[in-house]
Amino acid sequence: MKLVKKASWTGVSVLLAASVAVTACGNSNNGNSAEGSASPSAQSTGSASSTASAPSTASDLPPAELTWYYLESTQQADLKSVEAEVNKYIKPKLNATVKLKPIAGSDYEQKMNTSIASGEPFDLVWTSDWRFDFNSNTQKGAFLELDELLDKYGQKLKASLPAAAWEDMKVNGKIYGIPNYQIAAKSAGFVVQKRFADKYHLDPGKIKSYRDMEPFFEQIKQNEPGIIPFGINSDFFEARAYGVDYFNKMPHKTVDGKVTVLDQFTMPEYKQHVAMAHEWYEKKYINQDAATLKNKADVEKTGVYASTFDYTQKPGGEAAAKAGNGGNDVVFVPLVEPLFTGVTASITAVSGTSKNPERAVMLAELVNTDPTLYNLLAFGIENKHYTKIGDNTIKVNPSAGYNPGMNWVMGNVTIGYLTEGQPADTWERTKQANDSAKKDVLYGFKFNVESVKAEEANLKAVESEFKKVLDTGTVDPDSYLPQYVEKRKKAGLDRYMAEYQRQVDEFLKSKGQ
Amino acid sequence: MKSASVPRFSKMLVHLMFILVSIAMIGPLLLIVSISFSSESDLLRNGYSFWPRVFSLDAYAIVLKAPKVIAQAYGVTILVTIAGTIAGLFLTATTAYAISRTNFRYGRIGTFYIFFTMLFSGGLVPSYILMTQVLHLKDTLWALILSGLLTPFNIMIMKGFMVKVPGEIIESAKVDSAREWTIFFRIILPLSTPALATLGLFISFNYWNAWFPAMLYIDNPDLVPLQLMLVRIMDSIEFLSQNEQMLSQMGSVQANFPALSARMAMVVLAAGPMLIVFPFFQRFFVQGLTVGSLKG
Repeated sequence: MKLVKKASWTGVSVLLAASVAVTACGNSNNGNSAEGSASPSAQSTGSASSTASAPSTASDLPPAELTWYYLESTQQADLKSVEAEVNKYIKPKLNATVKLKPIAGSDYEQKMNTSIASGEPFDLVWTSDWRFDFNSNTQKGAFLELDELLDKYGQKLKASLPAAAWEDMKVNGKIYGIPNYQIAAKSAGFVVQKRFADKYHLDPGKIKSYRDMEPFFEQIKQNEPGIIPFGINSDFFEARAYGVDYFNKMPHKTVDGKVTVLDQFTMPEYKQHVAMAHEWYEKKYINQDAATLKNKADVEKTGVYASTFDYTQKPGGEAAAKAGNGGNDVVFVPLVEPLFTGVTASITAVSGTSKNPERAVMLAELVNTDPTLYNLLAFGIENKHYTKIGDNTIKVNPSAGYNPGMNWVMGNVTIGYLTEGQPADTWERTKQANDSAKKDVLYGFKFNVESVKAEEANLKAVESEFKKVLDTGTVDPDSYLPQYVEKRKKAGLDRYMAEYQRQVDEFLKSKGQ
Repeated sequence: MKSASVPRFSKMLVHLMFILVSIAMIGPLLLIVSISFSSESDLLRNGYSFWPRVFSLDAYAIVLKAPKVIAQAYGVTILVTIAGTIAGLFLTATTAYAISRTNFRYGRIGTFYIFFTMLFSGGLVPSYILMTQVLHLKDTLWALILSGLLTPFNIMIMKGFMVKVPGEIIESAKVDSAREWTIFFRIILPLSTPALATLGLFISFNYWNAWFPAMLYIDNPDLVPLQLMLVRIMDSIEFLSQNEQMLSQMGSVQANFPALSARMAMVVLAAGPMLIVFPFFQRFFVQGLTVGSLKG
């Protein structure tokens, strides 16, 4: 039985690996041809309607049925009634109906890759930088270029978001996605349980560097048996805390207007950082299973970590962190100023195989600018799936069959309702934080890995061997860091960095014009 | 005296070895069952143990939260497994029988044709296009059944077994004026029972454990088989426990979510029925296992 099972699992994994390889090859051809065939039609419909009628009179357009794939957390039993309600609402406005096709997170990437490779027709699709990658799928030609379509059919949508958001949707200078606008100002720092911060008089304002945390860790270590001062299971290196610019995990420096990207692992700051991490590890400030711990959240919710590290620290996020920390209040101790990290975490794109791209953009505009439609998609039907408990605050009815809990997948969260427990000014603070956050000089840059794919794969392989044990301080950097640097050199680091630098130069040149 | 003690010693050694191997296999299984019945907070504090220190049914309560949905998923899986195994076994046997007959002119080329697909298959994207855009079987149970119907490897095993049936039996049946179907059903199939049982087990395991075709082809929640559903529940557990924003929206109930034990409860639910089915096949299984090794 065991043997049989094992054999079949191996079979499945082999099959998976093979299918991934096949999709990868299939994609480039198929995607390109899809784009090639779709873009002329987009242009022709565009020019046809611009001469015939203004885009505002949508009812003159022939009826259309759109298909929208997006991410869902768990299956929603009452999706049908929400879909019916949505269609009732958009039909008179767009003369179109939409088929909502939510896909479970575990299936999303594989299913969309296969669907795109096979050239299946659909219209709107959710994408991001962490699942079903926006950048690489755009390079493959999976999505339609939107500049013209937005100017013709989505002016209101375009005006509703800051220019910086659209800038981040650009790949090779063209817009390929519609951001689902949410918090984008992020700062890295410690998350400390309030009960310990108060007891040992930790002043968040006084923490300016990693080392400033040491007295606090020492006190926890001495006085709180069973409590681990600092719980991690990945890196906690933020180059900006050492005064080096850091964007998309790529450190870089600007001298006389010339931007140079740096290799993180040969930087003296990194060496200093992992040496400190190792010291902390030896002193047992850091949990001893940091390098092997699979799911930190499982342990974190028991409240044994006095502090953790976090790269987001968004406004109002303390409430969320509290839930993850077993109900203990937390305080944020940011090490750096917030940085506008972009809006690629949740995007809606128009598929290259769309038969009605203009209607797809119009629907996206409506979802992102009309709170009625947006709230319907994000929270369901009023008094059935939720009840209003304030001006703009709702209480979700968890047993009514529609509670996706993923408002950030559907559209601009700042036009929607707040859920119980979120402060009333959350959206104002979100917008303000986004607007006031600094932008890195490389903001909007998307690395095209195509020409250094082999090097990237090699570097990844080396990384899996060394990075985690170094980052968590588990091993002595004096003996392991030189080995790591040496192996990265052999893996083709120089070529990779040269290509990165070349693309950065090109990007900055095109931006300067 | 001496000659008698040596075999006894070596016998003990063999027994010892198999006892160790058995423990290595049964141990993890017991651990899984034990974890699935343990309380989450105890697991996090004290780690795993072979006997639940703090007994809890929370994990099963979570996984079986929607019993109707789980029952439906079981139903889909059982239906697909039974239909797929019967149809698959029949087609495997008929195909293998045809290419195993020495007086069949295309026997060799047929064998090669089937063998060739073991080395080079069409791949995922073409089969997806075939299933969705040519056959239009997306969102039907056919997509689940057809995708696992014939496996070249199984046909080869079956052929290897049938080739050994002496041609004289077929000849003499012909002399007794039996026609091809009679020969196949009355003579060949009864002679192949061990091979049929073994392959039946293989095929049914394949259908029972298959989640990939369902992931690709099934959107309708009513047609989701058990394995895919468990994969999804698993993923949403991970997603929930890593997405703090969502946790806060769901309230404190989710914060105490039994992530570790729920995972193991799912394994028990997914593997359990097959553990019961297996002993029925076991009688044939030992005999059938040698089928593969003797081919060629």
